[in-house]
Amino acid sequence: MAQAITTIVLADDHHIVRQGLRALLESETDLRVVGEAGDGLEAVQNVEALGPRVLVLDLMMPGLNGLDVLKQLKKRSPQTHIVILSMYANEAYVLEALSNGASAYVLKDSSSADLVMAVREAAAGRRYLSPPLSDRAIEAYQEKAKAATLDRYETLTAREREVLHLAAEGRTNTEIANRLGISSRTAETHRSNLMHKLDLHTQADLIRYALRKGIIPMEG
Amino acid sequence: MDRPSQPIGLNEAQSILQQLAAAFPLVSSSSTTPPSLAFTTTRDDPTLPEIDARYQTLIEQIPAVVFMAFLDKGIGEAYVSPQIEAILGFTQEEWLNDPVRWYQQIHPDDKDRWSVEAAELFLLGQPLKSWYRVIARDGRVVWFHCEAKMVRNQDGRPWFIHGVAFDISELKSAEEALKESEEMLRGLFESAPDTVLVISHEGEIANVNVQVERMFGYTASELVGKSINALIPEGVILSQSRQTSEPHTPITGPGELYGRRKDGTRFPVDIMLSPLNVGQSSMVIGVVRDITRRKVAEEAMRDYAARLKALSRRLMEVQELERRNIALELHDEIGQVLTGLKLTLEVGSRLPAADVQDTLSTARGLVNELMARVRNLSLDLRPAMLDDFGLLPTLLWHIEHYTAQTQVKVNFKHSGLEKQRFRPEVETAAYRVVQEALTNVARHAGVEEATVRVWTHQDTLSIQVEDGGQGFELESVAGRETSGLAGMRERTTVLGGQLKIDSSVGSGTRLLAELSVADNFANPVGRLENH
Repeated sequence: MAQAITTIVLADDHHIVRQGLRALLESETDLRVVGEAGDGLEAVQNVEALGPRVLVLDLMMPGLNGLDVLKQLKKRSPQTHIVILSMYANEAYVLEALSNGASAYVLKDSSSADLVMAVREAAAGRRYLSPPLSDRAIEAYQEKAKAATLDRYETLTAREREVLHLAAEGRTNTEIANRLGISSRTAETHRSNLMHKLDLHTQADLIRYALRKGIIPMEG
Repeated sequence: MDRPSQPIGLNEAQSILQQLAAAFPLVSSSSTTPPSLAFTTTRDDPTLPEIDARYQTLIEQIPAVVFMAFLDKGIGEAYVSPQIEAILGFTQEEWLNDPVRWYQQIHPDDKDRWSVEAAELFLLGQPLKSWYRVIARDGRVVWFHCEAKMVRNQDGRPWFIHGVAFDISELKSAEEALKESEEMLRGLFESAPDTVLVISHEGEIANVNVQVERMFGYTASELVGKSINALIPEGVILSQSRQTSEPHTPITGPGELYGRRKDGTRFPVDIMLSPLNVGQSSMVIGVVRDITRRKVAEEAMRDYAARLKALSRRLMEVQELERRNIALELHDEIGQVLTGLKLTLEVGSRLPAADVQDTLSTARGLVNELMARVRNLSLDLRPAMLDDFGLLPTLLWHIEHYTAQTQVKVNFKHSGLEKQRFRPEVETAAYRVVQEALTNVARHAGVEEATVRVWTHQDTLSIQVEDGGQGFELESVAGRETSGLAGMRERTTVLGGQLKIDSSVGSGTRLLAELSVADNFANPVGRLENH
């Protein structure tokens, strides 16, 4: 059975790296490097001209960086599958590459077998992440990066929390000051600081907030 | 003979003058004989005064109006010298033909006074020496200085009056000008923003402007006649005022010069002395300026300069330290591994082909180690991620890395950062603040856990790093705020933000940095005041 040949373009700004990659990939009988590019712009041009099955793309390149190349080629040459080659194992990069249409993400310090595997998987239209990257790690990262885990109440100082509680009970600055043994000017400063932090503008806002947080009990 | 010399009331004076005027018969205008000049003709009556024609020439040369009127004869015998025409525009004849013209032409405001003074002359025989404004034919106001006397007959009856009137208009307008100029100088004196004093060489205050009240709490009148030592206690003015020969000579004290207010409080002043010669006496002008505000500003500037100096010294130290660390890393770690790699490859090249596999496998291991070291070194210097993906991914990465290195668990909470990019300097500052604060936690707090909160609200990016560790007394670091704190403070203030640190021994540390993410952040003045 005649083996289908997978055509490849290499994009990396270091000649010596391209040389190493070419030697490594061409030692496989089903892979053939049909072109090379030394920067992002050249990579886009060569892929458009040569229409390879796979582009092995360095993430960090001068001029147009890898992510920009990725975005452009997804529109201009959608039939080419892209394997990202990167120094960074950080999930932010992996996520960014994948969400911009990369098929595989390979670390530069992983084994040669890993790169060959990634090229074959990408050529077959499947996703590949080189270890220790994993979909689970990516998901965990996405979870951590989700906003709204911060409760503004936590940003209040202990003093500001005391003032908030007393203010929610309807006490004046003078009463709060007497209670806490501070000057009423300081009480006023705490009150305005905490309202600013919680994005509250009126006394009614403050009471609504306190009810919602259970700082003061609901009536009835 | 002499009448009792008591003052004459205004009403009385006017009625007397009316009777007097009625005593002079009016010469009809149709009279063909012009009134002759009394002094040119020798009269039948040998007791009559005579003025020789020789004297008439002399009289008419005098640059003043000479006049004479008999009180026991008709108007025709009166005399007024011809200069009157040049001054007032009425001819000699016009004056003599109309005995009440004098009264009519006197300025309305001076009429009452004239009535009283003239009546005193006529009835009491008191010499008249006064000034009046007289309206000239063309409406001009002419100032006259008048001197007149009444002469009595041998039997004591009033005989005639004579006198001289000088045109003093020029003198009067010069006086007016002088008064205006004095008012202007007084205005300048009073409106000067500084306290201006005129003092004698003995230190006695001769004059002082109203500013003294605002500056020292004394009224000007309280101080006149007092010694300058009441205001400037050191006595420096006194010792230096005698040598003051140049204007604007600044007073130099042994230390700072202080003014003393009425309530005893002191404030810093600048004093300049200028010599002042008034007639024979030589005085000194002292200008006292309250420089409290300048002192405060200077203090702030000195403080700022000191902080900048400390910071730049710190910057150089840090730079050197960083360089040493990189050099060390390159030499000790990367260099050693490279040497090992080279040796491995050299050994491998001398082995038979069948045994090369092991060598290559060792070499590959060394290369991987090298790559990891180089990558870490690069990230430690500056994570490229910050430029590529912004603050949140970089903080997530850094915290993970930090925990792995220090075993300090970080509770990271954030809002408003997801998919959010800020200006590069804001992202850098925020990242460095978190990095520095966490480094401090690991180094000083002695805890296993810290909390980092980062959130945005309106135009502010807030960063809070909190630990429940040992804490420190703020006072103890305030003087030598050289560690990471100065760097963090500088990073936040140049971005129009501020850094607050809340810490005390035993109750942990809470650091809050607020950065402005608006395109236009606080002005430089605001930045200065933040310190």
